[in-house]
Amino acid sequence: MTGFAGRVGDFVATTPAGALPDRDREAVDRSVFDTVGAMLAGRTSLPGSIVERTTREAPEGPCTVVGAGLRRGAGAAALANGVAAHADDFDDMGGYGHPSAPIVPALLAAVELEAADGRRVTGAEAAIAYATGFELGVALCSTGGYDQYERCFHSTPVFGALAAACAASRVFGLDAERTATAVALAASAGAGLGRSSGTMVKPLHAGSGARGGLLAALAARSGATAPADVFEARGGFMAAFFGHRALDLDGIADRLGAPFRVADTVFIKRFPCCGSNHSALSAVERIIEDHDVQPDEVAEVIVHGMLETSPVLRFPVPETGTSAKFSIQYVLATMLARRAVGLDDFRDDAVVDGDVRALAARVIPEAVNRWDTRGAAKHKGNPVTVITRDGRRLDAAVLRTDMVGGPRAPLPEDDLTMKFLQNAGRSLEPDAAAAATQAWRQVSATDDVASLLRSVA
Amino acid sequence: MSGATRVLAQFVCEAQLSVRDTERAARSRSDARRAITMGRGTAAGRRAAEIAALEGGADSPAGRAWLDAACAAASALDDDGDYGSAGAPVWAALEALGGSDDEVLVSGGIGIRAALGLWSAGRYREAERGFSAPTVFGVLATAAACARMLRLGIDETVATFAIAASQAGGLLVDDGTDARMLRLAAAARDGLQAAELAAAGFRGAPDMIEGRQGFGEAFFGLPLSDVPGLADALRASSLEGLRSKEIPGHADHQRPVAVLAQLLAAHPGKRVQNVIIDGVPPTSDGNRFAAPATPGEAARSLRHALAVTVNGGTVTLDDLENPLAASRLDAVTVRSAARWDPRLENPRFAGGRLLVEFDDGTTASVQVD
Repeated sequence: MTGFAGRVGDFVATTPAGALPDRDREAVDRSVFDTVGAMLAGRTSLPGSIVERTTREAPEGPCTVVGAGLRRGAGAAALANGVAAHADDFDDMGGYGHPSAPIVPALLAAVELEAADGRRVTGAEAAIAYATGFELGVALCSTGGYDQYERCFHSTPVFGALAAACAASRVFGLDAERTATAVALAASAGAGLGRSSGTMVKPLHAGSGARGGLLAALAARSGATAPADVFEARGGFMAAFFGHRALDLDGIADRLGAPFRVADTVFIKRFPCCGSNHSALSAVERIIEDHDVQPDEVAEVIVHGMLETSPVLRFPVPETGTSAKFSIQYVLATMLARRAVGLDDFRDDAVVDGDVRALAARVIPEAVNRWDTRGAAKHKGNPVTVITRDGRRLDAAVLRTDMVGGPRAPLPEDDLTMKFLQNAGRSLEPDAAAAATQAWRQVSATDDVASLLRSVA
Repeated sequence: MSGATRVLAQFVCEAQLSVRDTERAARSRSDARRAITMGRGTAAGRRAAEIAALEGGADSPAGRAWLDAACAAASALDDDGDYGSAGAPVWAALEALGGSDDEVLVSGGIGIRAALGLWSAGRYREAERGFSAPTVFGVLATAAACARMLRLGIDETVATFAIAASQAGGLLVDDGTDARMLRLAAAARDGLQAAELAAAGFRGAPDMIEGRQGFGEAFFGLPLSDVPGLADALRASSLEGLRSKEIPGHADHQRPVAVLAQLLAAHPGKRVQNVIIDGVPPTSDGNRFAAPATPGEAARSLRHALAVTVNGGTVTLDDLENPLAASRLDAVTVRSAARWDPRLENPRFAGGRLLVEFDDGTTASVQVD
């Protein structure tokens, strides 16, 4: 296959596992670990539990629905695990929205399909499968300047389906031609509207991306045909999703894996809510640490650098836990009132807490003037000013690039482990959660990825 | 008046199907059944079955809907509506759900009408937007049909649309490859699952069609704020535009092939030198491939359809399955006329002239309407 899809097919199929630098392999390990933990927590959330319930009615198969005691067909497992991974918005982020939630479920389902056929997939192969898929997603979305708010489609499912197709193709051992076909088929599987932010449908996007990518790889394996010029053509991926075909696809293909970008891109989340909150949350956390400001001292909280009209954080008074994840007012008030922001803060009953609501009403998102030529720069994040009732102005700013959990300040090992344990503890007994921690912390080192799934079955 | 999403949901819950539309729905369903049966025997249909087996969901309603819709698309015998292949995903999903004939027909008819109304109110232009209309609107039609079939209430139907709209996609460039078949299959599966999830309590944005970054903005370019216009379009929608296919292939092949066959029958014993057809819109998906190499491409090649008609008097599924066997491609010329404003042109073949030159020097021509 020629064109960009063909270049991607070559890259995914022929890059040796040993080509992945240690720091990127470690980043993959951390992301897979974190994603499995997110699945174990997310399956107990409302969207996760509904999808899991419907998955119970699907035919049995060889693939694990994580934490559910179920084995289902590859498509159903990928969908359910993808929804669970993203259900709490606690999975990793960076590059193209939430990169691991579509990749990891597709990769695991592919691994178990291989195992059912008597083939063992090593951790090193899984790591390069993840990394090559991630490369395509980040190359197109970030380098290409895709703006999900302007184009209306969440980047997670659109680029996630592509990444998942690459990962699954690599696990299946497809050659370059069939991998290119899988990528071309996955290009057409992209969907997922921005309006779904703050609803149960957003995690469904991640599950659909996982299933769509996996299905594309299965179809390519079966000899399906796909348009070779799917990226370049009129009516193709670039035209439909980017709105133009002027991107330098050859240049993007040249830079795939040169260098790999996992380690320099992915953020492991500390808070289970939309990543657009995290810079301001980190700033408020710093203000609390530095000044021990108490909730009843707060007169106003000003969040600087917000977009003119935020298309994401659009729930000033959230009514549900799902929408509260997209409320800058609620999350900052929660941090001030409860000194932390965790999964239980996004239960429906927690959201209607009167004290937090009263504090949330004092949070003022301050938009960047439309005519400010500097605009709202995402990397700058959102500095916060807390004005106390006695007139003090307490300022803090945490650049997005400096947030703990990101490439410049990776989540400390103890925190990463604790996050996994707490997430896993929502589905597993403590001993089992500890065993799962041991099993999943370094997936790249295992001889048999499928065997790890027994620890979270 | 409430928003567009709720207006759509209300229509799905409350609209009735006329006797004429019920008859049309029955014909569409029958077409889909024939297409599914025929598609199972095609190479693409067999691939779809293999994929379904590997994916592991073939024994579930969603899996059956997926496979049947794939097979219908593989045969290129599924019916056609204003937004393209209309019946296949809807009927595949409803058959998978099961129900009485009356329920299936009314649900399917209402589902297709809901999608037609939205398509019309939003003035969707697929050639500009890049997403394939049959898959974008097919998932909504299917979701609406399944919501009606499951007797969901208005809030649940709103949720069904919120879920299904966020699954809408499929690229125009897919035409001529298995990607198109897979997207139509996904429309059937995702529409059905949207209704099932909504019934189980899954919820999405209640203003998905009209809200910012919603369906209207993504696919029409603007949020669909003209709610009265949508209500009018839904009321005016009917299944009158559904067209059965006599031959496998694109909708734009049907009349030209029939007219050519009649013309040839009227001139027995004469050998065709050339066939020239004009008036084919530049945007016709049925005229996408001049020299098809695969069944999918053959289904989108008017030139191929006319060439095999010259040889055999009609087009069969075998002709599509073996496109390289077509021997008279060079005898067929398809002419498209430039238009000043192609954006406002109906992409479908709406009429032109067919000219046949025989090797004895005589000619015959006929208007194709």
